[in-house]
Amino acid sequence: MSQFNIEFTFDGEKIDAITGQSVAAALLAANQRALRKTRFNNNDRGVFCGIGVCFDCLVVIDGITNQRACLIEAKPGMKVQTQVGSDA
Amino acid sequence: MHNVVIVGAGPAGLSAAIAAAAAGAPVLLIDSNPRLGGQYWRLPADNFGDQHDQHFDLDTGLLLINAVKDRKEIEIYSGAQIWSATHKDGINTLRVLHNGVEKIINTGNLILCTGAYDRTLPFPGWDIPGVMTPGGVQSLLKGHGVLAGKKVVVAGSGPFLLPVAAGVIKAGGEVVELLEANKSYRWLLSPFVLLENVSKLKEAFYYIKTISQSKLRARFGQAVVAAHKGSDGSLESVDIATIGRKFKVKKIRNVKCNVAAVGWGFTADTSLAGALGCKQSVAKDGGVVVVADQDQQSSIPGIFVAGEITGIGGSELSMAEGV
Ligand SMILES: Cc1cc2nc3c(=O)[nH]c(=O)nc-3n(C[C@H](O)[C@H](O)[C@H](O)COP(=O)(O)OP(=O)(O)OC[C@H]3O[C@@H](n4cnc5c(N)ncnc54)[C@H](O)[C@@H]3O)c2cc1C
Ligand code: FES
Repeated sequence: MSQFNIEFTFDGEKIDAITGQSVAAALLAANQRALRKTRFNNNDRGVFCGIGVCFDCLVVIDGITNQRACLIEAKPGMKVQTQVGSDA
Repeated sequence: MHNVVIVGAGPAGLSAAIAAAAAGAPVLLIDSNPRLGGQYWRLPADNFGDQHDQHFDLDTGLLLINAVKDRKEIEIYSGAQIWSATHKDGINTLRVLHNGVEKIINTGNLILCTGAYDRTLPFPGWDIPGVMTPGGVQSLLKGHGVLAGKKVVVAGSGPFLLPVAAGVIKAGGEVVELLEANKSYRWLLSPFVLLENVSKLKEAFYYIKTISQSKLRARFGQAVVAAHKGSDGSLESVDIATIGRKFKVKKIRNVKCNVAAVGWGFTADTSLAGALGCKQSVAKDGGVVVVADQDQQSSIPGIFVAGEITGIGGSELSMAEGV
């Protein structure tokens, strides 16, 4: 298995990843399971289907909302944030 | 205008691409995944090294994938999401987002091999982070080398629970429970598996071997009925119940875990076929599928369908249909 070779941040904290990993995979490997908060009641949500079908893993990436963390490949220097509601 | 356009690069789409190219047609193959292989042969980036450990029959997949890459007649759009499909006067128009650019593709010959995804049923707590589909747990492992959690409950029904449990064990995780809601692995003995899918039976036993080499024993007639979160807001435990006659549910224990992979088989991804107006029907397993004739043609001339989209039958049937 290959070693961590890229870094990005999630809500300001450093996350390690391997080239080719999705943002969601790297976050789960770092034990970060909650990725967004729901519009009502601020409930936590995380990865559910893992293949881009359910839209439960939405995060904000470099200021762009509604990105599916399970599909987007982690890139060095990305700024990923918890999405709160629709964050529009 | 493209001669033949294929959507989906799983066993069905790859086989279809080879067959069409062999017949001399220029082919465009489109898939939303960054790499070829579909769900069954889901692969991580090349830097992850050898992947045979997470696969039963990777060699067939690699053979097909490399054959597709080698054929000059086949153009490939990977990581391309089709977001709209329309059909008018025999021409199909697809709108594709590829590398951040929108492309419009017209073709008279469209082959849809869009596959399937996990069938889920809601239960209290199913939206807590840590409750996932079995397919999600597997795709994290196969596609990204990540174990979704150390203590995993695998539950629901159907043969797919086996590779998921085996994958977790091989990756060094602990499957704390493997629960099949049926009374036994009844589907192993169904005539479908025995007659049409002998090698799938072999595959099932391959996973059962891995599972039984660990301390894990599958339990039958049991299911996850509720999930509970801990103080950090993520999954901490699940309630397990026996399922009696007439679906009478009786809670029997609470089990600590940080991932619950709960799924009830697969359901065909008919979204593109539906948007184009292809006729659909309800299959034996209760799922909606796209109707195909013996030539794999849908109800619309010029639109063909192959693989899991026409009914859930596994990777080999998908390959055969693709041809
Ligand atoms: C997560 C998951 C894991 C599975 N694992 C196994 C397993 O271990 N063993 C087994 O026997 N079966 C497994 N299956 C069942 C699997 O569906 C079949 O075995 C087989 O992969 C079906 O082949 P296919 O070619 O029909 O479709 P798939 O392999 O599902 O391929 C369909 C492809 O179409 C693409 N696609 C769909 N819609 C679009 C669109 N709008 N735009 C662009 N691309 C699109 C998808 O990204 C996908 O790559 C799994 C299914 C899922 C969902
Ligand atoms: S987890 Fe379902 S879309 Fe990302």
